[in-house]
Amino acid sequence: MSLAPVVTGISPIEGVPGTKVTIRGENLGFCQDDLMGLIICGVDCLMSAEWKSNNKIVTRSGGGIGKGDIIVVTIQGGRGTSTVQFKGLQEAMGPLKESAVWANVGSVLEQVDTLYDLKCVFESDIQEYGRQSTEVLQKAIYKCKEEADKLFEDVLHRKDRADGTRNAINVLKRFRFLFYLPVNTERNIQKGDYDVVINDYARAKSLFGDTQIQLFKKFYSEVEKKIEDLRNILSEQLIKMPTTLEYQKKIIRNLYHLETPGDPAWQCLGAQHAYILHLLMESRDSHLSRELADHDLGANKGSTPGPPVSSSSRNTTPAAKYNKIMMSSVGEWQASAPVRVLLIEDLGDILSTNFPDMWKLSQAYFGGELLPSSAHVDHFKHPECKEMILELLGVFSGIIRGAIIPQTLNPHGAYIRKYHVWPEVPLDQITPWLPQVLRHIRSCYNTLLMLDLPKDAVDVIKTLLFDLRVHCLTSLFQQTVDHLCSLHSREDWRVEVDDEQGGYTHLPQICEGDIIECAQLVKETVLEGGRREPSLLDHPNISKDIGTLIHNVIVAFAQALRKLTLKDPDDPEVEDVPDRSNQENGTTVALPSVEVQFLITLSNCAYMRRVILPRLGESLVRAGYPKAEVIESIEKSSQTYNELQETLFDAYLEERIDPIIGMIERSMYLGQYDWGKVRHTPTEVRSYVKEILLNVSQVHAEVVAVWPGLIPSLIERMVEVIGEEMARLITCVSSFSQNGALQAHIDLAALNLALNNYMSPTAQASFQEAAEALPKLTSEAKRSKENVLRSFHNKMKFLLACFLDLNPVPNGEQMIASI
Amino acid sequence: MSVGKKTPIQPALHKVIMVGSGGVGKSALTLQFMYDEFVEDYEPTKADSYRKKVVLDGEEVQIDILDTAGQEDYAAIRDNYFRSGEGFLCVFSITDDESFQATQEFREQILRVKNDDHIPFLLVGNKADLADKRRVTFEDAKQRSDQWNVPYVETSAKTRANVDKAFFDLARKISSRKYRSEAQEESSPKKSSCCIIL
Repeated sequence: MSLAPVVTGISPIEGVPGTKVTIRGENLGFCQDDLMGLIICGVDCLMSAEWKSNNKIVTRSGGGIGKGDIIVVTIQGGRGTSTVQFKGLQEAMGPLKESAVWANVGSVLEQVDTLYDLKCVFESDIQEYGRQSTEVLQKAIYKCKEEADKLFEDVLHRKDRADGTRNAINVLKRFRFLFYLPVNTERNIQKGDYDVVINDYARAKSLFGDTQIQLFKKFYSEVEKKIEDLRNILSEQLIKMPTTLEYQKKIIRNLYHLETPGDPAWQCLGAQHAYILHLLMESRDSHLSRELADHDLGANKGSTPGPPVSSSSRNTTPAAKYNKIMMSSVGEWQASAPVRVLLIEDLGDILSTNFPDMWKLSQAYFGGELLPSSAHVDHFKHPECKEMILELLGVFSGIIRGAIIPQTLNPHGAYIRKYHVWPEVPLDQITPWLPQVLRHIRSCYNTLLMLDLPKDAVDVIKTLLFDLRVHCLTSLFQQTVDHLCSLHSREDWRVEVDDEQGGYTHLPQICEGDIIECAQLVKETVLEGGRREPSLLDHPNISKDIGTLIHNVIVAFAQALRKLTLKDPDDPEVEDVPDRSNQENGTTVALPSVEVQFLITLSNCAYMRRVILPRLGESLVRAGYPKAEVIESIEKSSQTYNELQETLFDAYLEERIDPIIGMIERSMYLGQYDWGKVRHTPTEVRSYVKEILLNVSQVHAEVVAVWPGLIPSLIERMVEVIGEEMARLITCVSSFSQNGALQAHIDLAALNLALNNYMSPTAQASFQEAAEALPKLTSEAKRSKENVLRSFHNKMKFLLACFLDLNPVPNGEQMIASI
Repeated sequence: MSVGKKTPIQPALHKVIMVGSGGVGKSALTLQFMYDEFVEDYEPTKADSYRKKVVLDGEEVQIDILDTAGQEDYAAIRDNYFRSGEGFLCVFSITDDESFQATQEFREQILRVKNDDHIPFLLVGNKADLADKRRVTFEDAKQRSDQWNVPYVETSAKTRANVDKAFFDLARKISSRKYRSEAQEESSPKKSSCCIIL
């Protein structure tokens, strides 16, 4: 304060008590009444102070001994300082001090004379007035005094009263600060000028805190009462939430300045803790009751929770749903999001907005920032504070776990009963929202990271995040698996033919697209950790799990393919598959025959194995999935597809070959044909042979349309079976007439000729066996056989051409000759 | 609001002592310097103390002034006061030759007490405004100051002429002397040997 008095000059610098002292300096007040105190060497000299000017005061020194400051107190400037000092001296009496007693002997003799005179007068007085003369005198004096008192009593009394009044007025004037203080304090409290109140209070306390004067005590206690009220008001405001950190800090400082008993900062921390806890639990409870209400409603309505969701969900992947969520506006999102997703959003907001303030407050508290310099930080409260923080984060994590991943709650802990309160809900309702949930928690985590929290507090959220990510990972993949398993319903049987790889429909590509989409989503939202989050891939177990998950997803499609063709009595759904596909496509295109469906599925399966799987592997590795696991799972799945392919192949073959084989015998003995009773020389290959060839060529045509690459192995197998059947039939014939034998030779040779390109050693052996069972031909017969074959070849050229297209066959003549 | 207990580093303190016969205007000079005030009435001083912050050549310093008694009655206690002084303003009145002669005794007493020929010292001829009552010529005073190898300055406590100059010149001398002795101490850490040589 610029008005603080400063004493810069003292005249003289030392002296015995009562010395007249001139004090010079600055800001010494503007009139006598401005002076509120004058202290020299610790002794108040205000009584004798005589104010001369703003620069000068004259007074008399008090009884202070030794060197000391000269302190002036004024109304305007309060207590001042001094740059010079006064030295109080002790009044010394002694023989060295000048004194008249020791003047000279002459005066002593004079005194003796005087005493003698006195004695003479005294003795004459005794004779005159008696021994008690002084008593008479005393009485007279007392009487005089009484008279005088009577005379002046009135005057003196009035003077006393006047003095008293003047004194009282002076006191009132001088200490009006104190007398106005209760009213002023009240007014300032109402205005909210707490700083002013605190300032006034500190001033009053320093001036009157230990006053003995009753009047002051009374006013001071009134001030104290007001201050007590203020303390209570502030304490109440302090624990009233919500509020801002700055405001809290201000209140806490004010409370400390008001010397409030207790530990307001600590109380505030506790209140904040309770408040956040309350917010978290309240949010949980309100969301839970909403969900329960929805749940009951759903149950009453149709007893199937959310039928539209689950039916449509079969046709969309979680990734697709997630994308749809991301594209939707906030309003839609609010309306469509599951209650617990909204809950997590809410919880995240609560924690992010409230927790940092509490933490900062605690930091400020333990940093001593809030405490007045006199108080010291109570470090014993450290663990307690940490416990509060851990409890908050624990509750936060517990509620989220209970809502989303109850399986991670310790089943034996107390938490499970507290948090596992949510009704079971189909996985697919929550799963698409999981990346969103993750994002919320992650942003929360980032907020916490910035606060520099202790490690175990951060770890609570860190492990929550980790568990959520694992859950999200498995859920997304599991959902995709479910989706792929039901992909068979979308088969439209439209084949696109690729000359190299065979034909395929759109299913394998849908499957590939879905898997990649899912993998991409998982990678973006789950695998790649945020700040200070370990990558899931670094975790050996997770890495292995990912391999399994990839495998499951890929194999799921094989399930779908299997369902398309192989009827599984355990799965009733398969029955209505064709119907549904027809309806959903809304086309009038007739479905291909079951055999063609087989063939197409077979081709899809092969296409999947040879084209899609390697491509998928590459894509996954490129997307950052661990190479070893991807390759392993691709190989394992490839095996599954291989097995499926083989099964389908066998099934198709069976489907096709059975009628052909069944026909051979019937056709061979059509019209009671008897090999032993053939009369005329055969001139033609028999029609059952032509029928066999026609049937085989039909299959050939069917396969070529879908997957030409399948032909060699398929036809080869068919020829083997045909050969086997032929061998069986021929060896069973009891007798051959000559012409009958020739006819049989011709038939076998014709088959041989036509199917030569697909003759495996097994088939060859069967045909050989059949030929050997026949009687030998004469050379004439051989000739006629050649003639018949030649004409057969000429006639059937176009039909046979289909069996030749692999190796351009030499000339028919040469072939016939070779046989 | 909390009152910082840390006091800033106090500026350097130079202790000046006013000496001279009674009534030459030592206190008047001091009060003029301190408070821009001229005291008309005369009241003999015993010993007064003043302290003022000033800016000397850009540096803030404190000048501590001990205004001593001129009357011979107090001659005995002067030794004590002189011991604490770092510089002296030896004042006489140009209207009073006796006071000029007395400066010789003061000079000798100071040199005896301080045992230092180079103690900062200014010869001050006060009451320069009373030119018509001059009894001591400028030349005589100047000659004496030259003989002592100290500056001479004529002042007027009434008009404030040269008042600041007298105090500032002395403070400057004290300051530079302190600085020099500090430098000396630094350059010759073995102080004892130094003393032996001297």
